[in-house]
Amino acid sequence: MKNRLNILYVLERIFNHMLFKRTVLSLLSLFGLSLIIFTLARIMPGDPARMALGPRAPEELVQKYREMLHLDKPIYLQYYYWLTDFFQGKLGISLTSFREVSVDIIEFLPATLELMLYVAIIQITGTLILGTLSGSKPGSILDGALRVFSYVGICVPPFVWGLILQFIFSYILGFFPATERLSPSVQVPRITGFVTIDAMITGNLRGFVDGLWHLILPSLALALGAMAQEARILRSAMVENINKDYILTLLSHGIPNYRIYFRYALKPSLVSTIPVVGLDIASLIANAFMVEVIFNWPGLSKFGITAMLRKDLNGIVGVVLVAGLVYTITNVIVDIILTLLDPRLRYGGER
Amino acid sequence: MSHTQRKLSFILEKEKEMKIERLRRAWFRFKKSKLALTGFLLFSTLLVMAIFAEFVTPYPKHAETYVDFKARFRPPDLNHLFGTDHLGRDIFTRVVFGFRLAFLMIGIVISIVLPVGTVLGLLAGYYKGKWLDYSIMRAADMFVSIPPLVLALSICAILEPNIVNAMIAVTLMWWPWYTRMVYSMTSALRDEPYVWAARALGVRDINIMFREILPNILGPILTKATLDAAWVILIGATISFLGLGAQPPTPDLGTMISEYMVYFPQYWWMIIGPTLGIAILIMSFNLLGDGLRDVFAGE
Repeated sequence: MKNRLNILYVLERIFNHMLFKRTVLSLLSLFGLSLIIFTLARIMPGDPARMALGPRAPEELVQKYREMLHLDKPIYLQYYYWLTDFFQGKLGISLTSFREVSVDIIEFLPATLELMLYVAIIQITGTLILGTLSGSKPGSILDGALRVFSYVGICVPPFVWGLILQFIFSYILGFFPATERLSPSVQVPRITGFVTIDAMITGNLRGFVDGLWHLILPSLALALGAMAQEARILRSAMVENINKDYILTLLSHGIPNYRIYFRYALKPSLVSTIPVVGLDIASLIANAFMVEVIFNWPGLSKFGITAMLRKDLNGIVGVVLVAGLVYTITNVIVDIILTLLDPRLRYGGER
Repeated sequence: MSHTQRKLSFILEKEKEMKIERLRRAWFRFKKSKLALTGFLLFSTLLVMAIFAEFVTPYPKHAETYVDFKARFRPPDLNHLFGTDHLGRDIFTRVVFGFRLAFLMIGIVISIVLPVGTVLGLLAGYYKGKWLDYSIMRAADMFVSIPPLVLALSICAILEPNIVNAMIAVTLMWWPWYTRMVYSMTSALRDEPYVWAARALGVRDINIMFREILPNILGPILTKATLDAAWVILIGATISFLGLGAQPPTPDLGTMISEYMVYFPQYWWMIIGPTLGIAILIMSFNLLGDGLRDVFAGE
C-alpha cells in the first residue's frame, strides 16, 4: 500500500512539474499549428493546385497534383490523410525538388543548426563576458560603449549586419570567404551534416578550419545585435544584485572581486537573462533565413524560401513544422536550465 | 443640496483635478526625459516627411516606375543624397516613400492588434480559470509556439506575396504576444481591493474590465505598442527582403535592399539609403518607447 502511494506521489510530482506541462502544451500547440497552416493553405480563394503549377500547366498534370494532395476531397479528410502520412514519417512530395519533403529537410536542416550552434556560442560567451564586465563597473568606458552598441544593435537588422560584414571583411579586406559553407577545393564527407563536426570526426584539419572560417561572418551577423541587448540585460541585473547585502558580506570576508562578480553576483543575475537569450537562440531558426540568403548558405532557408515562393504546400507545412519543433525543443532546454538555476520555478513559481 | 450630494460632488471635482494633475506630471516627466523628447522629435519629423513625401522629396516621380538609364548607378552627391539605383531613380526619394509604407503598415497593424489583443487579454485575464481563458490563451500559445518570422513568411506565401498580405501576416503573428502581456497584467489586477469593491457594488463585468482595470494597464500597453512597432518594421522589412512581401517597384525599404543587393558589392552605396532608413525608423520608435516607459514608470 505504501509503495503504491509512493508511485502515485512520484507521478503527481512529474505531472505537476513545469517542464512536463510545458512540453505537453508545446506538442499540442504544434499539432494545432499544423492544423491552422494546413487549413489556411487550402481554404484560400483560388485553386491551390493551379496556383502551384502555374497557369500554363496542362490540365492532366493539375488533376494529378490535386489527387496527390487529395485536394478533391473534403478538408477534414485531407487533414486525416496528411496526419496518417505524417505519423509514418512522410510529409508529402515537394514541388520544388520533387522529392519527399523530409528528405529535403534532412539535407538542409543541419547547415542551419550548425549556424545556430555557433551563433549560440558567440552570443552566450559574449553576453557573459560583456555583461559581467560592464555590470561590475557601471559608468566605465566599456559600459558606455556597450550602451551605444546595444542601441545600434536594436536598430540594425541582422541582414544588414550580414551585408556590412560581408562588404568589409570579404570584399575590402578579403579576410573571410563571402559565401557558401566550404571552399570549392575542400571536401568533407557528410556524416552528421555539421561540416565542422564531420571534419573533426574524420580528422580533416583543413576541412575543419575552412568550415569554421566560412561560419564566422554569418554567425557574427546573427549574433551581434542580439548579443548587445542580452549583455545589457545581464548588466542591469548585475548592477541590481551587486548592491545587495550578501555581496557586501562577501566583500567584507575578503573574497576576491573577480570571484564575486563571476560567481556570486552572476548566478542570480542569469535568471532574468537566460529567458531572453533562450528566446533569441530559439528564434535563430527563423532569423537565420535572412543571413542565409546573403551568404548563400545551404540551410533551411534555401529550401523554405523556394517552397514559399512556389506555393509548394507540402514544403511550406514541412518547413513550418520543423521550425516549430526546433523552436520548441530549444525553449524546453532553456526551461530545464532555468529550473536548475532557480528551483522555485519547478512547480509554477513566479519568475 | 443635501450633505451627501455636496460631499459626492466635492469628491468628483477633486478627482477631476487629480486627473489633470497626473496628466501635467506625466507631461513634465516627458519633457524632462531626453530620450522621449528625442524619440518624439525624430518620430514626428519622419512622420511629416512620410505624409508629405511628394513635397519633401526632390524627385517624387522616381518612387515607383520610372526609368532613366543615363542616370543609373550614380554615387551619392548633393543632387542624389543616396545616389541613384539601377533604373536611374533617386534612392533618397524612394526611401522617403518607403517611410510612408512603413508608417502605413504600423498604423494598420496597430489599429487592429491593439484593440483586439487588449480585449482578448482582458477577457482571458478577468475570467481566469474559465473556459474563455483556456480557449483564448491556448490559441495564443499555439501561435507563440513557432518562431514569428516563419509564421509570417508562411502566411505571406500561402496568400499572395504583396504588402497587404504582409500586414495580415504580421497582424496574425503579433496579437498573441500582446494578449499574453495584457492577460498577465489583468490576472494580477483582478484581485485588487478596488476590483473587489466594484464587484461588491454590483458593477457589471464589462465596466470593471474597461473602467477599473484597463486604465491601470494602459501605460505599459502603449509602451509595448511603441517598442513593438520597431519590431513590426523589422519583420515587415525582413518579409519584403526575402521576397514574400511588397514586390518591386513598390518603394518598400526591405524590397529595396533585396533589389539593390544584386548589385552588391560593386555599387555598394545603393544599400546605404534603405539601410539607414530602416535603422532610423526603428531607432525613433525605440527611443519613443523607452521614453514612454520612463514617463509611465514615474507614476
